[in-house]
Amino acid sequence: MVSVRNVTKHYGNFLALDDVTFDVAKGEITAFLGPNGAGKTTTMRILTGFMPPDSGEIEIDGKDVFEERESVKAIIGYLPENPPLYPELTVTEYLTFVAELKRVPKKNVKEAVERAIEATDLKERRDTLLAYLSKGFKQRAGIAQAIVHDPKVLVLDEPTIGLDPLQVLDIRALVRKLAGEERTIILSTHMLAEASEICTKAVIINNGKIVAVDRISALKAKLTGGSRIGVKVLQSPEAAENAVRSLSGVRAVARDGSKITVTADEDIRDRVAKAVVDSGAGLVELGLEHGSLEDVFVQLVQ
Amino acid sequence: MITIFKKELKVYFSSLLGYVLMFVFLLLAGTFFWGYFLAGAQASSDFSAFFADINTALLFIIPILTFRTLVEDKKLGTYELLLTSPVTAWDIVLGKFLAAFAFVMLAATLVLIFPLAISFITTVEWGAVLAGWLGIFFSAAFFIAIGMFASSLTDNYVIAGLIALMLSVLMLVLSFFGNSQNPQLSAFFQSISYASHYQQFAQGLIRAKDFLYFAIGIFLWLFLAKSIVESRTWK
Repeated sequence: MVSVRNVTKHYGNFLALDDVTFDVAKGEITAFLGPNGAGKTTTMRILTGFMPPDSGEIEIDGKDVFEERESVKAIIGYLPENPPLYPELTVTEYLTFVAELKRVPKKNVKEAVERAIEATDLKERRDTLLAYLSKGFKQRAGIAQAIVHDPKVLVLDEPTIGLDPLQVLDIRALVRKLAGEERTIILSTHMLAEASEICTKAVIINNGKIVAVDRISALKAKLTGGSRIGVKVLQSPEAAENAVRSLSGVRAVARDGSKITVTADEDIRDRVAKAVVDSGAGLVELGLEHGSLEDVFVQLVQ
Repeated sequence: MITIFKKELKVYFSSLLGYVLMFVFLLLAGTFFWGYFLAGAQASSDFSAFFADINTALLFIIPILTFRTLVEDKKLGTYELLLTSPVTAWDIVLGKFLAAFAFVMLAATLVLIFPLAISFITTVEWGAVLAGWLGIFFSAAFFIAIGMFASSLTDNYVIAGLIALMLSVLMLVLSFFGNSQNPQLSAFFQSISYASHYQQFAQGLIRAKDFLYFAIGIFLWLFLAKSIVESRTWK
């Protein structure tokens, strides 16, 4: 659905994007993940046709973004980093304006605006001037604007940035709700929790280069390498640590207070359990630990 | 284009700036009216000087009204919305231009209440009034187009405002260069100067040549503005 090929972009001498290539399949929710300044916003702006690349091709739904601008732009919904709102308009006026701008047929405009208001839960604020909305509601209005023409491709640039924790959960739930077979979503974020919560796939970018493209579950598995077993004991962590250290297949053992983390070539929970019980350390907890996306991320960007 | 036009017009009427400028303009027009027709020793019915003064007022009011048009979008981030929507650079520039023009012409038409008022006391030369109004029609469009161009150049309000004002004044004073020794150069400056063409309208003279000057001038400024908006997305 979205295909980015060898895209390079400079700002003066600064290389913002270096030969960026990735694909997003139809119906996927993809996280565009990277630390601040990695090139996320630049990529979003190029994807949506706001800013041309120095070189490279971008196709959306088989059409070149910079060659067939008009038809491509009609199927993209875009929430820039700052929601593009006119403070002098009310929510309804604004969404009507955007719907017309996005070429929603005249007879469907009203319905489209209603649907967007409904989806983003803005009913009670529909006649409020955008200037008077709180930050969370502004963000919702920004998302409503991006979906008012029912776009096939939805590009969201850091949709939860600057919101309080409750609003963050709110917006994440909203984005998940917007996903569907017919809609492809690309969401940029620097928050790994967000990516693993909402998205199925991640494109990881650092210093303008793509460092990984894969399913989030695969990324986690691939980079953890082997399995990690967490052990908690009640009486004697030292005894437990010594007991598991001598087991075959154990690569590393780390102890933090009463918690011991064992990294092994494979899942050896049964043998670890037996060793700890035999050592008399007082086993209270034992389980497999999944590598978090944080670990993956740190490994990749370093 | 119509979508952007409607929205812009709505913003003019729902923003303080629109009302303040409208108020200042009508206040100035009222002052001129008082000065020319009420305070004078004898009541005159010649409106050419009155419209020339109104035109000068517009020269300063229009940059304030227009320089923000595109700059504001760049500041609000709505520029991204416009440029990622299926509209052309012409739609954006013309929509905004026409809205500002409609707003100014509403103000300029409200001014016709003055000759109307005086027509009850004395005979008004409606031909001269019409020519004066027509002169404002063209010079408003001309200055708005300059403001749009200035606005397309930068994302700084102050700089855009200064460029708009500077270009407007420059177009006005070009005729001074017309007093040079070289007759060809002189004729050239006269022909590109805004003032020499506007004066014809102000004096009640309607010539095809002046129409042409304004039509080409308005088009050129708008074309430049449109090209700059568009160039952002040129690959």
